Amino acid sequence: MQPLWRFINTGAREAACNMALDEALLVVQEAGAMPPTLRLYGWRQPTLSLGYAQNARQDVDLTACHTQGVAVVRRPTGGRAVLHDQEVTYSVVMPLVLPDGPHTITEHYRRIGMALAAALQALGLPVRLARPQVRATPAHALASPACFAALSRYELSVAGKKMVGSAQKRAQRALLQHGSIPLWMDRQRLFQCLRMPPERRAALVQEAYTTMGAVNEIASTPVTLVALHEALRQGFGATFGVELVEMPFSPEEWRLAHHLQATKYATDAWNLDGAAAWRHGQRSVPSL
Amino acid sequence: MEFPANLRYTKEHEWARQEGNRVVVGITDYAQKELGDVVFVELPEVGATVAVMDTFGVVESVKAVSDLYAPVSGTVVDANIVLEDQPELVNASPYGQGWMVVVEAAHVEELQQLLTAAEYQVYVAQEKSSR
Repeated sequence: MQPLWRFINTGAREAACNMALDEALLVVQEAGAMPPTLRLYGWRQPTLSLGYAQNARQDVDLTACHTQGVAVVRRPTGGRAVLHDQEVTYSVVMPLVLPDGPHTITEHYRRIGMALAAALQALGLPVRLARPQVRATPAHALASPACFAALSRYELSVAGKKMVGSAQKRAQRALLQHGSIPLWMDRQRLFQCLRMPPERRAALVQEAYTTMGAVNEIASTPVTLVALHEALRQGFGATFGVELVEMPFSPEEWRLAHHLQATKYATDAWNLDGAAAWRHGQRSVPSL
Repeated sequence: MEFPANLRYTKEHEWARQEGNRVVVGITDYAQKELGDVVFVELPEVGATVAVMDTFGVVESVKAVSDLYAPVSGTVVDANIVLEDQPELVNASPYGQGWMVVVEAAHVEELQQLLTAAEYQVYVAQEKSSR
């Protein structure tokens, strides 16, 4: 009998809820109480998610986001801005060390990358899993505030276009890796939401047509959400040699997620001021 | 890869150097190599208390965000704020200029529970080789 993984599809939710659910899954995994978990989800409104350390006030045009109806949320993982809209978002939580599994950061990206590649290949996309570049200089890594513009680790591309933007957070015993698999992409809107001189914006949008890809820009017949969900479930099962069993969130897990949503991911302190400012504010609150 | 003999190590890849009742803390050469280019370091404020094996900060590299775990309990008496502008020092000099915090230890004997350089070297070899 194959080992079991947990599978959850939470559908399209609010930005803060999505991040809270990912963190809740990591907390539960840290406690050792759950098998590795694959969650698939979506976004109730277009959302700009920021990397953990990204400077929101510097990088984000909040007025443009508001005008465009784009929500803003800060991820617990690193990297840069991602515009979530017509896509499938995946998150995986698993132990840092599995008996036959990946152990290092790069290995985790590679193994999860293989699962994603298997899914996209099953849908007819000729994806490549790119090897890590030898060294990304800090200047290059910070060139664009947008995540998909950088190909820095084991990542999936078709004809040089990055198809999935992923990021990882590592705790003591477990890790969270999540990523965006766009079905369609609005490059114009992404860069409108980011603060920069207009001429730079125009150049980045132009460049993005060659560096950033979406599934249905490449697939010969349009891929549906359901088809991508099923392909991902199959891809992870085959790559990790596991059976994915549907296990919805428990009431306790929902309570934890709602607490994280209310106190962290729905707050301006976390999303706009950043982790350090949010933590400082937390300490100032008298504990009950 | 370096494993200085005068340090103690955690399984989470932090190092600790005793200076009387104070402990200097950073991340190891193995950790910085694993992480790749460090782009951001979040450290506690001076005066903050830390509990052994609780998180005391965060490091972000081009590959991942990683929590930092305190090797000993105590009070933070110094934090390397140079890392705010020069996070790459963690890569360039993980045991030197890349130091992160100094803790006034509440129980300096907690250091004895950590790995020696030889034990940490074995631990890292196991982590790298098993698949």
